[in-house]
Amino acid sequence: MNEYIKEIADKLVEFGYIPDESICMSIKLSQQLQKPLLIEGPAGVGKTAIAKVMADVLQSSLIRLQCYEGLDAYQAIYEWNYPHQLLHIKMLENEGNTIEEKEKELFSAKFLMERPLLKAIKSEKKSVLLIDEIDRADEEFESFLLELLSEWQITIPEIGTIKANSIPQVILTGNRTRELSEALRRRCLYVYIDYPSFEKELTIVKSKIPFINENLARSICVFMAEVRQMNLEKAPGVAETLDWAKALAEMHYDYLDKHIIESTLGVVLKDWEDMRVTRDSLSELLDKVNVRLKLD
Amino acid sequence: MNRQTSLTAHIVQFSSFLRRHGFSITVLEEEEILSSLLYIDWNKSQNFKLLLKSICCKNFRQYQRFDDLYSQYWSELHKAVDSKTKEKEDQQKNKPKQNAPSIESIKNWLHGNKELDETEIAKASELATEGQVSLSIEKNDNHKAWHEAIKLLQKQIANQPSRRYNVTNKTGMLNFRETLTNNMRFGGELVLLKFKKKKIRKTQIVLMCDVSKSMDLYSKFIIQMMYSLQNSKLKLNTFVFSTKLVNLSPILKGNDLDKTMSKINAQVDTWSSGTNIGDCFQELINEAGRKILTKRTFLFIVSDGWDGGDPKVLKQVMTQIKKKCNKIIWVNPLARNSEFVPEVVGMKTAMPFIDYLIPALDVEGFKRYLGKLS
Repeated sequence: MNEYIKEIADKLVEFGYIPDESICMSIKLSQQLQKPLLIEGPAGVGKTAIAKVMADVLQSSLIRLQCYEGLDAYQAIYEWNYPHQLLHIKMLENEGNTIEEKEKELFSAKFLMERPLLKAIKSEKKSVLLIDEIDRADEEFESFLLELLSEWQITIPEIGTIKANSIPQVILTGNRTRELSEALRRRCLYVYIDYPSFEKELTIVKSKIPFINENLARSICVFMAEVRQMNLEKAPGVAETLDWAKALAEMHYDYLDKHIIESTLGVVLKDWEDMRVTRDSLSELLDKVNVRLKLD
Repeated sequence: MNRQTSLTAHIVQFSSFLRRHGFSITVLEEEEILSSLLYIDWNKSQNFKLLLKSICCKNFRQYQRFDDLYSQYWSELHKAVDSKTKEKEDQQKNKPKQNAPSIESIKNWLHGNKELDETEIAKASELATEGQVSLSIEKNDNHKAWHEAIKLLQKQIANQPSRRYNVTNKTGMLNFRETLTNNMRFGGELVLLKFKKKKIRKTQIVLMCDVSKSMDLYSKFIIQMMYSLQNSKLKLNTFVFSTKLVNLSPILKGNDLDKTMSKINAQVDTWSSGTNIGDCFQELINEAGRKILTKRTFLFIVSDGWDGGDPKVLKQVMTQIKKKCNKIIWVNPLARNSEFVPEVVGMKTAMPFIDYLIPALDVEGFKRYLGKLS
């Protein structure tokens, strides 16, 4: 591994994130080229965690914008403090200011409420800006982001253009619920995080839950790998593996059997149909897990 | 492909290789690759590959294909040939490819080949006399009818009002927020009024057309349907299926019908083959299910329901699709018969999951039933 990349990998590991080479390379390039990083992948594989760890690594603040349907520029960039402005107008009524002076005062920074995007570019110190689940926002919202992500500036009609004091480390995440625009993709570096391999998942489990029994950790990771092979509506991610492993370790289990799995399956699967299908094929699944464990 | 002597030339050549495979690499990306080489040890092949992958890939499909294309590029480069041999190869490659007979016949239909029309009439009459279908050959000039069908589609399902609002100057509901903001400059006096109206949200339509042997008779209807709908303003994705699934959406977009037909010819090699509906639908879910099969999707399936695949697989896949989509609309030319009973395995299996069954084999029939959709 290249020393620069290894340096990033070591830092991520230090703060509890087990990366692979492609993630490290993308982070490195994103820092060097000052380009946003678009991370896609199934739910629960650690996309958001990268931003959190990056903030820790860079010792900077994490500014998060959670996207949802209907999110608009007012909620993401800035908003005028209307009640405050109205009160101020009343106070200015008896003063002899001209209309231009009043207008200038009303649309000044004093009445501007900074939302995450504006906050990120006005920050003096480099911050990490996480735009989470961008695919949940409307397509129009993507257009708002274009100016920010390429020019690192935001235009507010009443004030003018605000340039970034420091260029933030931008991380966008998405679950591929809809296709993002080509314009947005072009402005980003892209990385796809898939479900981890057995070895990587085992390392993650052992590093996050150090008190877990080795045999239990291995069984859980093999079981999860097998479950993901099934044609489920919502395959479990690493987050579910960690929840399950932690729950079982807290209960001092050191093995997996049919009864334990059945009683705790709700931690792993979040869809009724998936649970039914998995329950039906549990014996078969356990056989596969045992064979794989013996082979390993 | 030529053997290059400089790294820059290689990167430019590799970028153009990727462009040929659908990657949108511009000079900007090439510049980024070159400037990024300063930060990595590019003598290590893995680092070099990761760098290219990080910069060149812009979506999941490209990310998946990159490793194969990267290996392909270098293996092709090993086989780099001198310019003369290359010229000969190019000449051979540039020779016009002969069209598959079935496509040629569809092309001819669309351009009014009388002989083939007659053949079709003969076939149709034969079938009609057997009481299977009552078929009338359409005229080639169906533009107006298709235009009306598209308008109906837009009205009935494609343009749904959203829960969200758009700011507008036209009269509608008063938008208090925008009105207050815009009247700040007048000291809060209401001088300008701003209104809002509901946004129009385009519904996703997915068109799945069966191009197996049993559907040969309706190829003209299918081709016209795919071409007309894809070139409208509908938010539409078109696929054809028989033993495998092919996405025709990017190919069908364009005004030149001849070019479109030759592209289809090059892309689809399964016309008039067998049918495996279950596997093809599973492929659709795996490939594009996340993006296009959503609660706002109307799925149109044009098929007679003849299926050589496993009914269990079809049932499982239809259950998944039913959960994902808003409505499943099956266009079955055979269902025109008033005594139609879904006896073929595919149709029988799919029936419980279908919201609407449209018995149409021409645009007029299709239009007639569109008005009843909601």
